[in-house]
Amino acid sequence: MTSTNPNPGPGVALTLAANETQGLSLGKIVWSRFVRHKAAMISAIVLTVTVIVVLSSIGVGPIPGWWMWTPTDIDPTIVNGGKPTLAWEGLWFTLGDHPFGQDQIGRDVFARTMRGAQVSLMVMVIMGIIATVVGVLVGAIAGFYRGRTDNVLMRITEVFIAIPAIVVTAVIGNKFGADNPALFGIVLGLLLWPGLARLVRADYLTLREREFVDAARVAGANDRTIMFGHILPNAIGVVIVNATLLMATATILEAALSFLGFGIQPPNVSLGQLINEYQTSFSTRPWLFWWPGFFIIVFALTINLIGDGLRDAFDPRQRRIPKTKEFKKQAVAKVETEVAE
Amino acid sequence: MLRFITRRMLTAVGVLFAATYLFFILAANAGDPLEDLRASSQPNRDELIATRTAELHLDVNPFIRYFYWLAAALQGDLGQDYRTGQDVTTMVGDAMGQTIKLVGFASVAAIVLGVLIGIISALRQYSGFDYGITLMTFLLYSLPSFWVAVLLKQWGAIGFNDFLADPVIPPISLIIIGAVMGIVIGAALGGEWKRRLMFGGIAGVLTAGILGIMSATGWFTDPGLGPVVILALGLGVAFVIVFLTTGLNNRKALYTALTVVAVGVAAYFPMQQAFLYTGGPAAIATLLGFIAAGIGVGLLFGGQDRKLSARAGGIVGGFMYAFLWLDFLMSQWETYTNTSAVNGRPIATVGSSTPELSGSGYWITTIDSFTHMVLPISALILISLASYTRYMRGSMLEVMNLDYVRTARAKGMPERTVVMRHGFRNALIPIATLIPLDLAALFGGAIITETVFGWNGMGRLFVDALKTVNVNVLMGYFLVTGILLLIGTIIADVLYVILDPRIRVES
Repeated sequence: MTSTNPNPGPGVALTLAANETQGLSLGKIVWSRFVRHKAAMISAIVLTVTVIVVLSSIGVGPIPGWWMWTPTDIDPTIVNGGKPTLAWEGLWFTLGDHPFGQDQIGRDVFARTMRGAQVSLMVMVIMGIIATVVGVLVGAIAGFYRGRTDNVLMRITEVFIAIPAIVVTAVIGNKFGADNPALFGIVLGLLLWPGLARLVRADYLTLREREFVDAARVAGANDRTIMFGHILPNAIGVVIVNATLLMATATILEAALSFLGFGIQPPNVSLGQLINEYQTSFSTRPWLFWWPGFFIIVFALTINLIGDGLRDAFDPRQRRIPKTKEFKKQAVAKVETEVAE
Repeated sequence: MLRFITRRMLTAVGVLFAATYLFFILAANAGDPLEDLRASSQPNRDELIATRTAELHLDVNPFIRYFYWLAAALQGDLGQDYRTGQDVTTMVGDAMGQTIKLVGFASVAAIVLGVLIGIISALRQYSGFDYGITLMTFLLYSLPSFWVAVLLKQWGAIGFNDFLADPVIPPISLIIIGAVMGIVIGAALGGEWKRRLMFGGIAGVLTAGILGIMSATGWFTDPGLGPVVILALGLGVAFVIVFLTTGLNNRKALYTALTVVAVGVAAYFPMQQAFLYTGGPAAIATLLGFIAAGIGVGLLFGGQDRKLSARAGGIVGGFMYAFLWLDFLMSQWETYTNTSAVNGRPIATVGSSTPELSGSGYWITTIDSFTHMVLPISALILISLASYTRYMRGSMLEVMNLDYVRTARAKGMPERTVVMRHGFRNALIPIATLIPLDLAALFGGAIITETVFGWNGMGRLFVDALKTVNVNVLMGYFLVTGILLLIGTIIADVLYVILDPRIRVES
């Protein structure tokens, strides 16, 4: 863990970091570092565009989208044997009637994939928010109060780590029916907080010994203000980074559970459930299998890369920010002059 | 320390109780174990329902039913599968054997590969190789495992089997493979452009050439190594091992390794006979014999550093045995593919062995289980490789920036010593504390991989039991995996304290 190392390496990065961060707020520093992280920036743009397409194409709830089919429409004419009509023509591509193809009974795979992606996104966001809130609460209380409270909370965390998510979703499916993505997201959120709680606790254990906590206490702040008003802003990097990575995990977990038949159930669709449904037709209609998988990868990959970019931006000690060549040269020149002096 | 461990053990028992209780309640509510009976049209349906209800105590509320299970479990009775009447203990035991075989192999491979790639990537930070590896690990990390598994099954198996039916690599593919190999090796080497181009070029041409020869001579239908190739491989291994462990300047270690290679090659013809009679335990005994011989050679060379020579000799000895073993295994390949059960399509997609081939000798069954394992293992390695690479790279970067590494360099230590002794060993600490947890999780099986490839391991046992609400089986599974997970956590904590003396235990 980086936190065991109070001396974050020698010269170069620190001097540079100090120069580029003078007089800026944390938010601005993080933002400028994040923008320089090419992979993370590209991922952020790709993710935004994908989410806009996913939400707008078939519409959300009562709002209609711009796409001509809905996930449940059945097109009686199977175009081109159901093959995808998406094609490159010169410099631009044409969508055709069914860009991602059609399934056995003529439903539009594009519309179904979009619907699946919406459901997966919804599960992911709900899960991410709930897991983050619970994880921060538990971690903060355990790390701040230490002693017995900490002990009890950490043992509870261990119980939650041991319980496999799949059993809980099976129970949900049996008792309430698993066609409700919101419920599914809430349940997963209530299961996946332990990792974050441990990290937040570790941060609180060191932060609570710092002078600003004593200062706040002398000024008359109560425990809640110290915990969430004073310490949390200092631990926000860990929280944001891990909440992001948690969402990437959630995308894959949701897909895996639905694939095994313990997640989202028909008639509702999710990306994993689509793959499960179309698995057997791989040899005859491979596109049924391609597109949902492609969107899972897009979501997981872009969110993972954004999380990595955020980690670099919040924690310059890791120094993984891709530098431009000039930046590198500058650093070398600086070290050389320092050595020469 | 002892107090710390005892206390952790005691709380672990408490945690285990709470977790099993919670799990039991959940499992009991996951469905209806009487479903198949309710739907059946047998005349004695009501009787059957009554029997099963009595057997599983279904008339008792789950919150209390747990204690029926606990009372039996404390006496060592985990109950039976209600459908087959099989003992849960034997079911879990069998499944665990299968899982260890599959996931154990894959984990070891993933750890070794991940550590290796992570180190190279860290040492070449911000190079093209590093960026390539980083991008690749993120991609692998984001791949859904079931998707990879289905793809491997459809393309890996069918494609490779088609290839084996007519194993000729077209020249175009040879050139492409050679070029890719050359670029990867050139990028991984680092240093001056000239050197990288040269070695990359050599590697590329060699790869393409060797593959071309293999393709032309029909190696893929009747593979083998032969004494010459074993000698070449042995020499390569000897130099690499000596370079990494002691440096080539240590002549005694180098001579030890070379002697061991000579001994290994000399053993080629006698071993051809010996292998016919070895299998299972005898194979492991022979392996230990080779390692012992290597150590012996090292000690015979003597000198102050005889322990270092012995270590290098032992490692090379192990490798030599592996090559001999592999060579003999390959010689059986043609027999295997031509058996009627396999019929020229060796890469299997489902199950863990070909039933018709059971009892046809050590070598054939070994090949058989390899051909069944190759796809699930590739899927598992692809998925778990990424996190080890990431961890190792991060940890290595952190260590290489520390003061003592700079001190070592300032003292004039050779780069090999700095990387291997000061860097690598310390960078392994965080990984070493991860491994007990990963190994513990390993016993839980790879649910998705086992399901897709029809492998009867722990993961599959669990999913099947969950589908039929087989609470006894589920509890048996959870008890084993839960205990292992808690032990893994404790070992990880203890290991951390032992490996890093800066951390003290509060007890």
